[in-house]
Amino acid sequence: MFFRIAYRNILRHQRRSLFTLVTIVSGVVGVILFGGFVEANYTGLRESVIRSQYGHAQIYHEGYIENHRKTPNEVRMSPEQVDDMLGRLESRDDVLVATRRLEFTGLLGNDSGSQAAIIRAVDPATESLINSALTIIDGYDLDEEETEGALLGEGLAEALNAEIGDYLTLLSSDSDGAMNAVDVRVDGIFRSFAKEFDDRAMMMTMQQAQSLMSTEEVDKIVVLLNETSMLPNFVKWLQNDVVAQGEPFEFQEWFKMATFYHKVVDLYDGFFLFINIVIIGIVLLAIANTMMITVMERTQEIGTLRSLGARKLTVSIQFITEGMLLAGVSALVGILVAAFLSYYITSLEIMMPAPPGSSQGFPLRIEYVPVLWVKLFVGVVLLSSIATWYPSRTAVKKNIVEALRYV
Amino acid sequence: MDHLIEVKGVHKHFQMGKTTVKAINGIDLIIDAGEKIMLGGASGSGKSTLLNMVGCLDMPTEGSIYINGTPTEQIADNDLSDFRAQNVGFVFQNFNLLPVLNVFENVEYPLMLAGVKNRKEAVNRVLEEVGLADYRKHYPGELSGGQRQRVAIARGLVNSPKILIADEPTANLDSKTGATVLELMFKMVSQKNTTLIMITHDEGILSSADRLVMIGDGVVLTDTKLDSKSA
Repeated sequence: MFFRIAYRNILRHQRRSLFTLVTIVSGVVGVILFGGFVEANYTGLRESVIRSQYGHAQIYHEGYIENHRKTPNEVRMSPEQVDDMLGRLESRDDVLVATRRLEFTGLLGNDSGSQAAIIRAVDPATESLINSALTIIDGYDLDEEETEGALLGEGLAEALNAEIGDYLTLLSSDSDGAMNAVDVRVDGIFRSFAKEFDDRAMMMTMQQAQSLMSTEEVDKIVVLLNETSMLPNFVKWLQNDVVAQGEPFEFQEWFKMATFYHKVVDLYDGFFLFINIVIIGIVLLAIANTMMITVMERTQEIGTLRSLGARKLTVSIQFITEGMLLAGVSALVGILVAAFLSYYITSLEIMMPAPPGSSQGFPLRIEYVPVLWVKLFVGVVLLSSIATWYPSRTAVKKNIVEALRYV
Repeated sequence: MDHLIEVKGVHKHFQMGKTTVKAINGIDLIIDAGEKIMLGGASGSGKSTLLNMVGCLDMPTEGSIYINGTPTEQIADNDLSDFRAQNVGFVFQNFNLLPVLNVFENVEYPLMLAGVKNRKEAVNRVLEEVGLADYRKHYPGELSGGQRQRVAIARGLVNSPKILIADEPTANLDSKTGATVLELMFKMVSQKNTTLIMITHDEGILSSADRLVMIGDGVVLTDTKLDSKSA
């Protein structure tokens, strides 16, 4: 009977119900679209970070994380260690690719001047699979056969006034601490998601870098999995079957290295919380206002129900049912509208400008986040019960005779 | 006859701003089960206030109203609601039907509040009695004033209450319809041995009542036994 009375009353006061419905739908759509946009950004940024910088996980020689800045030559992986680990990784189904990296700093110079640079030495064939989010904006990618070749970050190339085909001299200290130099040829210029990286980084072939460094060792093995969701299982294997067995390896997941990603997530989470509070506040006021008017208009009805023997709580539940039903239907409509708009807006492929600290724009995408939908639905329905509870509670406390005479 | 209702030294005062309005100034009244009592008196005499207190809708400022020997002011609010649901029926001047419920549902509502499980049969029976069996699915807005009041009577009597409170039930009806409605109500309360306490200005009904209690300035002016012919 509660439900029957509730939905008939909602239909009876069509204009008021429609106003509340539109307000709630607008709020729900706003939260879902922004939430979906934020989630798409998180996903996009996460995958960019993984596929242009860190991979899903990196495996090092034991002690590397703590000591690689102080004594890098002592914590590198030997060729035997690398071959052993690469062999094991290749046998795993969840690993898409694993590649070696050697990283160091050096001085890069030409006739225009010199620049301090971060050097990343890679195996071109496998690195290109990991670096799918890295864009070659001029020239071409590294080639295993072209050992002299190098890729310059966009900002670094600009600072050195370097063009494709130019030769640069790279000066660095080798594994024994002696100064050494090699010439590299600019084969390409790249752009990653992080402008800071592009301003200072150069990528070169592993063979040329090991020659410069007079070593056969590498810093790390970077692992890219088939799916990011496979990471927990992969980490479990590394922890239980490798590190816990006393083997001289250690590892880090991508999110432990990606400080930029966390800063962006924190920033967006702050925005999202603020917007949620504002929208939920508006929704709450809309429902409270509607129910306040509803309850006031139906004071005589409340008197009648009470005189017939309805308890105060029974009458309150009646109004709360009405508020929750209206809010529930509105939230449902809002979710459907938002789902359609998410699909439609994403299909437009609108390009967004590059975010702060990033060097490239991104397509506007709004992800479906079913968890957010469910939370929002439950939240709106619960909020409506709170918003309805107060006016109904006030009304049922009114003297029955006064309520019956209310006009 | 048992004393169903005892009104003992009842006063009722209302605060209207800084003014205290003394609506009832010491009323004693005994009403027995099955009696049909008419309350009369000028407007503002206190008869509605007394009726509301007897119907457990309001409490005395002073004195007590006993129903079946229990003082109503000592009953907790929820218990008083339950008591009304099971023992008191109301017929209002403005019908006070729930507009979103149809005839059947309006009559069914008090049974639901009283916790009655099998309601359909009782509702259909009382709708037959008031002659609205064919109007079960109609909403109040689709009925005439007389039909609405008959629905209200059905609602007031569907759970066979001990007391039926009627506050000027014919005030919004034309005289012919009013007479029909009153006749129906008296017939039904007599059949169910329900105690009827009614405010009316319709002198034609006095022939069917057991007593006429005239109220003036918040006190009982006269309490006259009548020769009832209707039962």
